[in-house]
Amino acid sequence: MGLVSFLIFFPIISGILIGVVSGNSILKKLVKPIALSVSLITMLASIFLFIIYDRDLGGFQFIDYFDSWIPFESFSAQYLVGVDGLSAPLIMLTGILGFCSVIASLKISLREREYYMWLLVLQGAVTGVFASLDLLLFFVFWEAELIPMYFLISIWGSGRKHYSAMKFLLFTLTSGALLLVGILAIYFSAGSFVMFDVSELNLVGIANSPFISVLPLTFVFFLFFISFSIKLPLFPFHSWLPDAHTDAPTAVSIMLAGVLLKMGGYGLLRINVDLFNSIDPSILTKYAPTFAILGAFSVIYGALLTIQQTDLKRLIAFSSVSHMGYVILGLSSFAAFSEFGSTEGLGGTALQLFTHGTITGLAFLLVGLTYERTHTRHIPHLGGLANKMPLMATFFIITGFASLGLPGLSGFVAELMIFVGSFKLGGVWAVATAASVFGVVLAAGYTLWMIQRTYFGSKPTADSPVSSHFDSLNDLNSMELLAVILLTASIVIVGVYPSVLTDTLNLGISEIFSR
Amino acid sequence: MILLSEILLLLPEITLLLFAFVILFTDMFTNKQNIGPTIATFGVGISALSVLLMYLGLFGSTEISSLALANIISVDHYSLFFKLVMLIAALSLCLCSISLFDEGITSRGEFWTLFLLSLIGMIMLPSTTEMITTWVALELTSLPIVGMLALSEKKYSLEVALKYLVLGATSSAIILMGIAYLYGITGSTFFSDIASVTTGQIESRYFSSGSTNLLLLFSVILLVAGVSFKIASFPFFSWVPDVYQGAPTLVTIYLSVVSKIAGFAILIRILFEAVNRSSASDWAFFIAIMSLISMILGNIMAIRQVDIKRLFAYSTIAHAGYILIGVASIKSSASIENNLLGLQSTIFYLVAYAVTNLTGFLCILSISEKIKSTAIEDFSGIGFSLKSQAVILSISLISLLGIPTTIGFMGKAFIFSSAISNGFYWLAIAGIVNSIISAYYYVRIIKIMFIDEPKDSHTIARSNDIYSLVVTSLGVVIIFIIGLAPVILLDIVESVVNSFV
Repeated sequence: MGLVSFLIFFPIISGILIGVVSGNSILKKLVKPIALSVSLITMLASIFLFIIYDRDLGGFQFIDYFDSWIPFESFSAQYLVGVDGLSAPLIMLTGILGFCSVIASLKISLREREYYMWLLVLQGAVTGVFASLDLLLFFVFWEAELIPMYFLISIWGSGRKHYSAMKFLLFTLTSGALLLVGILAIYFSAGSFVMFDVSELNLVGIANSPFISVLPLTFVFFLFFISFSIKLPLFPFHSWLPDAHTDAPTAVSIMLAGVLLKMGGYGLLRINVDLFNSIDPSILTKYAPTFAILGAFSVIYGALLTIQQTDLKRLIAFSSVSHMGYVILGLSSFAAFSEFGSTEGLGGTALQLFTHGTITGLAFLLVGLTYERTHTRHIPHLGGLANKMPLMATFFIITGFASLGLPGLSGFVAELMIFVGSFKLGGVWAVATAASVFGVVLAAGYTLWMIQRTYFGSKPTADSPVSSHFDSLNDLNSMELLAVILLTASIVIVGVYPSVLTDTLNLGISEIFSR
Repeated sequence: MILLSEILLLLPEITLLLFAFVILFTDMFTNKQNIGPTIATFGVGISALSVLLMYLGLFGSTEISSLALANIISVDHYSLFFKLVMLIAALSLCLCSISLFDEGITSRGEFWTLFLLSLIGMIMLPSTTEMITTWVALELTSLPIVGMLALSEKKYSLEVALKYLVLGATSSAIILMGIAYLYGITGSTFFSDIASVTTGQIESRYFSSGSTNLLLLFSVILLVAGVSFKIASFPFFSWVPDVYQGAPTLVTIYLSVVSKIAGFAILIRILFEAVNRSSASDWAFFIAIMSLISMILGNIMAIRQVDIKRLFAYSTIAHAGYILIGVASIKSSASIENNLLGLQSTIFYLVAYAVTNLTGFLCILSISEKIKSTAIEDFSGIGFSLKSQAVILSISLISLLGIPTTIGFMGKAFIFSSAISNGFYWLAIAGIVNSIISAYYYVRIIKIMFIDEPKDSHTIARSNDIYSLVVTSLGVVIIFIIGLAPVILLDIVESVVNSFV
């Protein structure tokens, strides 16, 4: 078993063990330390994977192969996982956020064992999505993440948690259904589930198989596109996101915003761009302007919705819709590559997936920690919190600045790359980029206004539920500080020295062109 | 001349018959409640063992593709495989009913006698290769079930039995009609003779190969429509909800698992051996329509149900629809490989369905025996008080829904891919959309069990039902093992199909 399989199955198996081995009172007390150490080991292993990924060699590395998973004569799938420059950073992101989300949930006391079981299974399944090189395996992990999420939201959530959990489930199942049809159509066109050639195993991928399309290729393309857009989420498929985020527990919001949305972005990059570029690039070129407009619209629309929100979590959830619009914009700039050429746009897209994961993950962590103390997320009920929680306020401001794209922090780099990449194509892209830049202004508006209303300004008035315990609010404790610093550090490092990530990401992206 | 070795091929059926009489006689001398299921367990177990030995080639003739008894019974890998699946399902039913005492059943000796008699018909069905024998076997499965339904003290037992009887008789008449037409066209009731006429190998006055023969198509539709009573799909499905709800849960499980497998086994045999070749693409379309209506109807109706047995009734109608997707994909295209994919995926899904539904239903049986109710809302909070049963039920629901890592997902993936590879894109998409619809009600049950608080603290009797726990746990193990490594079952299915072709 290689490192990648370890990253997938170690959390899953330890999670299930935590859930199943039970009853014993001694073990019950150990659940939290065990879960914490499992996620710590996973995080360290994922960072280690990112570091030892051989940048001179490039391509897929750490491949684990097991060919007799389904060796059906006319239906053969294999267990095939590996990482390249595109997926290694995302796996590292999953490891880091997994650790942070366990820290964020140390205060959970309801049905602890089950909680950590689902959380760890979720982490393993998402890692599996990023690492799969076989389409069917990709789908298995894609769907396997569903059940943990459903339980996490509907048992440990708040508000209308059952409604939100069911909504999440149905949206994701729909996205999975479209994905399955697309995958089967690709399989029967190419005769293989293997996404890309793996030369050392002599495996021929879909792109180099004789491709006889069983369905119109544009149709298949949009099956994938819509499926991933639901997960991303892109307007008009975004309505599940605010509900799921608002009602999910903090740790799950972190995982949801930080990693699960990235599954959609990763799928778009991996399949809609990478795979379809090698099958038939003309589809991408044809619809690229539409995607640019859709992306820009999502940016502005999401931002306008965000400004109106009065619930902290809902606000950040809507800002995700806006930020994911940039992903589509960057992607569309690649789509026109065959004519003009723009790797910056795609590099920015890949980077945006990572940076949005850390920034929004941190934002949800801080909002969750605030909520834990104030017991309300209603913005008008808050105010002046910086007086009691200076550390938290500091980090909140850093997150806010990163989110609105302040130079020196990671959000800026990603957005700049996307803007540069798409603006230089001119035409529709210039207009879309100009509109999206306006989205940054809106982002500054809602972010700063939100911080101003919650952490600064006057103390909450007497009718606010916070006023009664305002004086007893505590600042971050050491464990929470560890998670917050970890995420902040990654934001600052990538912001100051983006090459640490972009070098690796560009390796993955340059391969898209060479395929 | 019937040889002794040919008679021995019928050993599984003969064993069951012997034990049916043993139960009847024992019942006269003893009043013990669970003597019936205990003897039935032994009978079914011995029968299953003999089938297993025959399947492995350790018993009977080494070449088991032999036709026994004047060519009307074929004991081959295909029929032995289905016999084994059905007998194992029946065995777990008998085993569970030793400890799970179903209050509704009166005259337990007669009940188990009828059970074994019906089971004989069930395991006969897949191996019949002659239309009249098929019909007799079908009747043998149905009539004892009428008795089993009527022998219950439940409120609606007579109504339910009558419903089953009337609709069953109608469907038998329709099947006979189909057989009569088929005989009129081809001049034979043997599958092999019918096939050689319909493929044009033998001249027939009423059949010209190369063109669509509407009469032939009509007779196939009659046959399929008649069998739809057994498999609980459109058009003869209206008995299903009432009977499933009103019957003792044991009979419900028997109907939903064993009866359905038997129906599909003979349906596949008829369509594959007797009437597939010339008119293949034609009937495929009709089966696709049947499948579509069954899926949509089953899933839409299941959403609003408040009784879990009734919900499962609609869910099995929907699942019959999924299996029919696979049946429609059998032999509808010219290339050989795709045909096998259709056949393999259908058999795979049948086994997946049997394991999952049996596991789920046995959990429902054991839960509902304890809370004395089958209303879904009474299941609230079961996840806390009857943890193991609730977990197992949830796993089987997830498998029915088709979430990856379970056997149900693999089954659905194969079914949909066989539809796509045979050009039934719309059917595959309809099936997938239906899977999403079904998520709503399957997940709702899980939610009620694990997330809702118990409405009232019902006093849950801790009865001794170790058998059902063992059987359902084994079911869960199979669900996950085959879900993660489908190759185990695929190998078997492939060898079954290869012997059949």
